[in-house]
Amino acid sequence: MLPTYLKNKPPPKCVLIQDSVKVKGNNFLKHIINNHKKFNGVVKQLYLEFEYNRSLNDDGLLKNVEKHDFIQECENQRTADDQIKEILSLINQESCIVIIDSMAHMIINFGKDKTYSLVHKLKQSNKVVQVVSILHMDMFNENDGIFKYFNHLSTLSMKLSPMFMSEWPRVNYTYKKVAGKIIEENEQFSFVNGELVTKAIEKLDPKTLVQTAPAVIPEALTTFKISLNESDKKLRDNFTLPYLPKDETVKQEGGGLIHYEFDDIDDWDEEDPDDDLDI
Amino acid sequence: MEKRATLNIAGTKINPASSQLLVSTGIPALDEKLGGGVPVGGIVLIEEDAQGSYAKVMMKYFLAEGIVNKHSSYIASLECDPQEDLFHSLPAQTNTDVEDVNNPMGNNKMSIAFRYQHLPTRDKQIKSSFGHYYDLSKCISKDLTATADVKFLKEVVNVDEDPYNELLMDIRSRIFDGDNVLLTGNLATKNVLRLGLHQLGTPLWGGSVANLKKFLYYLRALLRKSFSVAMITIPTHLSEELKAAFDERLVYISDIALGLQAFAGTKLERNKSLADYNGFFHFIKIAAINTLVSKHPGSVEFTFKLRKKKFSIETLHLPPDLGDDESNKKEAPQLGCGSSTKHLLEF
Repeated sequence: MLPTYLKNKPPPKCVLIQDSVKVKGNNFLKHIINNHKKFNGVVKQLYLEFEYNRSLNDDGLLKNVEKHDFIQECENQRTADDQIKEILSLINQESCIVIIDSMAHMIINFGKDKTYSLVHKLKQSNKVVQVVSILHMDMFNENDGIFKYFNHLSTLSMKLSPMFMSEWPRVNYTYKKVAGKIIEENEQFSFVNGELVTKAIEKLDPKTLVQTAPAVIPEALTTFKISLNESDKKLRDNFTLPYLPKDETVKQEGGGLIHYEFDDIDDWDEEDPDDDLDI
Repeated sequence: MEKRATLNIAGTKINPASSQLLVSTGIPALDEKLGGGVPVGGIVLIEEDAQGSYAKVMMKYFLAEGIVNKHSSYIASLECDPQEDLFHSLPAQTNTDVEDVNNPMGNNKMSIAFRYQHLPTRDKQIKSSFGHYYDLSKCISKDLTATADVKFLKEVVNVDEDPYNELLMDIRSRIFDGDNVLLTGNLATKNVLRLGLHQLGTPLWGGSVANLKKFLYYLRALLRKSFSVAMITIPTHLSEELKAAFDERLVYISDIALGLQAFAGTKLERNKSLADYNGFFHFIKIAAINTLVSKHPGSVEFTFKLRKKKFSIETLHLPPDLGDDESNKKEAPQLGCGSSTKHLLEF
């Protein structure tokens, strides 16, 4: 269902892609830009570049683009307020989509309150068709409250997680419909020729799971010999355990006798206080 | 008492028990549970649901009730445009409750439990001459909005300093401009000022929780001096700090504190017994003004639901367990004297 929500008209105003090093959200970004190209013609793009994104630049997706290069801005050492003002002045002319790559860098540069306020202004603006942003989850702690802030702001928030018992990675998304309904789903996704394909996560039947699970070989798990071979088994069968009733017919030969040899200087005690030594 | 006799503001009534002037929240069922309405000079805090949509609906009811009664209004929001998203999309007034719930159960004739035939299937709504009914599917008429005395706060100038201070000064000037909402002066010309403050505490307000607490203390002092009543929604889910401040301090500053806990996007959404409702409605605090104890809302657990035309608050009734779950049926323990297996003590 996710591709349908992404193609919805009007498009979800604020899309947040939360990715990590394990699953990168670049393909989602490309897919969304491609969608605009396909369905809305070439729309003006405002690309807020905080890190150089080779795949996006090389694919030639960025057309009719106004770039705001923050790598350059860092060298110029302009204040956050000046930069925010400039960004806001760029959206006042014609309708455009705003791409923030990545929001994590923006938060580190501007602080979370200023970033929130800027994204909120972009979202409220009539000129902005869509705000698409990538937020690298590895760069923040869950306790920072950053994810809560920006999930609150977004209309479609996607959280990518690596594959788990399946061939495709997973996406957990929350879509807030204009009417107020909220849809939360878990799906697995893949990009086939640049097109996003998703399917529901199949729940495995525990019975088949047990049947198909590879049998555990105990020998392989230990560093010592755990099993018995044929001769071991024979020996085991012939062995009579001491507590088992013994065959009384077997004649006992001799008996135990203790030969005590005195030491040279033996500590011989002639007394027998307990009267039990038979001296 | 002589003063009270000359005071005649539309949409207000005096609670005879506490001689407190009340206004309606716009939801008659809620007024009844709060002990008649909201005391004038009070603050109503609403802890928002995760998406804030239901709290916004309550805010709209509250403001619509003010517009219909020709009260003065003041609407502030930085998250949305208060003029477009709140004021112009207020619900329209209707003469009757849009979903008449007093209908007995259609034509289904009951053969065994016939005594229940004429009982309503849902909570009986209190017919009130005080609050009005609204239809959420229709927008308020343009004639009413054109003549309404309303002011907005859309943005603050100095976000870096204390945006709440700017809001407070704006409200202060609204109250002290003229004397029609102050407690002093000619009582015959008095009117009520309704303040709708939407989503305080978000990062757009500077993100300082200490400033929010200070603002609410000052606001309460201001409101007590005037015929004003404020409804404030706070998205406590945004940060732990805000939630802690709400529980520890903000509830104490307020007169009435309500909480909305929506099921959407949570595990409760798939709970079959709660499928009829949109969320839990919590009465966190109810004002006890001029009395020792506040009114008890009548039950412990309440829910809310938003239909196309109406937002309603109801007592939580779990549906009868009809045992459509097969696994439950099998595991149900056998009770009573008889048992399914042959037993010596069977009788």
